Amino acid sequence: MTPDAEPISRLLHDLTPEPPVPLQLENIALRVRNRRSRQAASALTFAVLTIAVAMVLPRSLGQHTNPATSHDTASTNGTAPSGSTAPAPVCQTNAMRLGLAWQTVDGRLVSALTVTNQTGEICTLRSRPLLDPLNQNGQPLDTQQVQPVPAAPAPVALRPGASAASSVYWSDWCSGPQPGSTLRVGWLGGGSSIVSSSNQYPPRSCAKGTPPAGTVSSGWFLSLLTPPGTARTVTENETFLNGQETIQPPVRPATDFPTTPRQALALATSPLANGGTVTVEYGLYSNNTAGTYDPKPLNKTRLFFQRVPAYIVVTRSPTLAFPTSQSGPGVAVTAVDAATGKPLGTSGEGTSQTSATPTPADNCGWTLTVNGTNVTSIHGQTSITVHRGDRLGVTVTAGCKTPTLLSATGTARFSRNSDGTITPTTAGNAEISADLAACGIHTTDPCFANPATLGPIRVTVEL
Amino acid sequence: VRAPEGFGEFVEARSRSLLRSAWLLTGDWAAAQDLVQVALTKTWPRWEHILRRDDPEVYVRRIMINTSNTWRRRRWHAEIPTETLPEQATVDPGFAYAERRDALQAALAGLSRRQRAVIVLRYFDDLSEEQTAAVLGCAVGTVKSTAARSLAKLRLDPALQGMLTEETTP
Repeated sequence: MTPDAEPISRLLHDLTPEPPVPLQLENIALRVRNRRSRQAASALTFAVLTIAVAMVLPRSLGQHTNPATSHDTASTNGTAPSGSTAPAPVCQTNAMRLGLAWQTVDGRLVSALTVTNQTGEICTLRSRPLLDPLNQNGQPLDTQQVQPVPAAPAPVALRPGASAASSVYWSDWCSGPQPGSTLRVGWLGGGSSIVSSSNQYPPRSCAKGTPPAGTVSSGWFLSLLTPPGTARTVTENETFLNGQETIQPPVRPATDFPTTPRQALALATSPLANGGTVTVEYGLYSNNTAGTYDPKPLNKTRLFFQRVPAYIVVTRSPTLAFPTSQSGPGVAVTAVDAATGKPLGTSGEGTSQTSATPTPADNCGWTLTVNGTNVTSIHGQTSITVHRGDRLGVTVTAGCKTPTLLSATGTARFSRNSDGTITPTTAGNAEISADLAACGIHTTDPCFANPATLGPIRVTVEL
Repeated sequence: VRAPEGFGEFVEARSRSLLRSAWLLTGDWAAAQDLVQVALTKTWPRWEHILRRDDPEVYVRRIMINTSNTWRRRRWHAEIPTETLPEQATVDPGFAYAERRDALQAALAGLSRRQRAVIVLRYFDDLSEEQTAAVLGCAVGTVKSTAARSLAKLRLDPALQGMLTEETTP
């Protein structure tokens, strides 16, 4: 191996985890047996068809048909005899009630696609839902459907009135969805129907290399033992679910805000072992120590999960932002057993929380650091002078720790350091900008209303 | 169904390595499990023939690559596996490790199918250029050029740049 390949090789070996579940020879043996059965069935079907064609062909060429024989044949091939163990038919989408309510989580649309059997007969769901997003005119968008879990679980049987749900996702959309967009939902053998989201669509979201309308995916259908409900926002002191528990989730300290927007959620018990579902709720909180914010009821968002352990993606609230001059954002995540309404586990620590609404006077934005020191109040200045070897970094008022935020344009040239800072290498002028979106920061938040704290900073590089 | 002689020992000895390679190829454990199981299921009935004419591990890895490519080509009616699971089990030892692992997966996802396969086979499975060419069914020169381009692309990935100069223990 060449020396230049060693860092990549080391990275691959260090970061590739150990398999969580060892491979079982029995599973392979089962697949081999199923494969042989399918092959045998195919051969048998071919033989039967060949014989049938050989028998029917002469009749169709003019042989007389005995009426009694014809009747016998019809009764044999008609409805299944009583006592038959034939599986229930596949649920037809046009006989189901479909429910969809997109929520934005980490820039991605997430929803539980619920299917309720409105017929009087039991039916089965045998595949994951296939999704085909449509534009306002009903034309398919250029999306790609991806498959999260190839291994198929057992079919889900839906009795009359029963429901099942599948987690569906839509990410990286550039040209869709737009208001009026719908989703064609279907599954193998069940036809397809169009369903609209009960929630509004968010602004566009793009990622390099994805189709214009992004990627959609879906999980397997799982039975819902309790009515699925709809993800919604609850207020701080609302009593919910079983009417007995008022959940006051602990708050994760602001100083411990994870550098990744992903909050791991470890649960001691798995309600799914008994066929249950889990509600995960999360919210963003800020301790108001300076008194500049108006107190506001705490908002929580609830999501439904059908698998445990699971994680949720926590993003900064689109309506709350937290200057680091105050106590920064806190995150609390609590899982709730949807069947009992009782909390199953939590991820944070702390006892108190106060919600807050930022104001434009908070001047949320970013500032430049030179060699680790904040260069304050330089937005709007003509320029500042930096020198070769200086390390320019960024501080974001909302406490973002993403290192590679800075970009520079102009005659001066910069190199990027391993810690995300940039260092000038040639003399000249440049405008340095910070990509706050990379932090997941919504600059439409009220406290980002001052453009002077958001725009580029001009620097002159002297060597 | 009884496994052919030596097959069980092969699975026991090599499944961990095959699963980890499959994880790098697919991006999640469910797909990795499925990929290795599919490859071994196809290998099972031809085991004795393979032992006589081929290196079984090369044969299994070839099927894994081909099957993975087939999954990625499918759309709509027959879907493709994703590099990013909507839901994943939380087995991370820490956020920082999870971040670096995600960055690695994202960087691998940015490679073409062949580039990704070459990176995994050459620099994770430590196969020689000749063995890699045998798995992929291409010339050694193609492996060399693909590996060079893939490495260059990974080095330019902003998320990996910091990691390539520091320790990456979990």
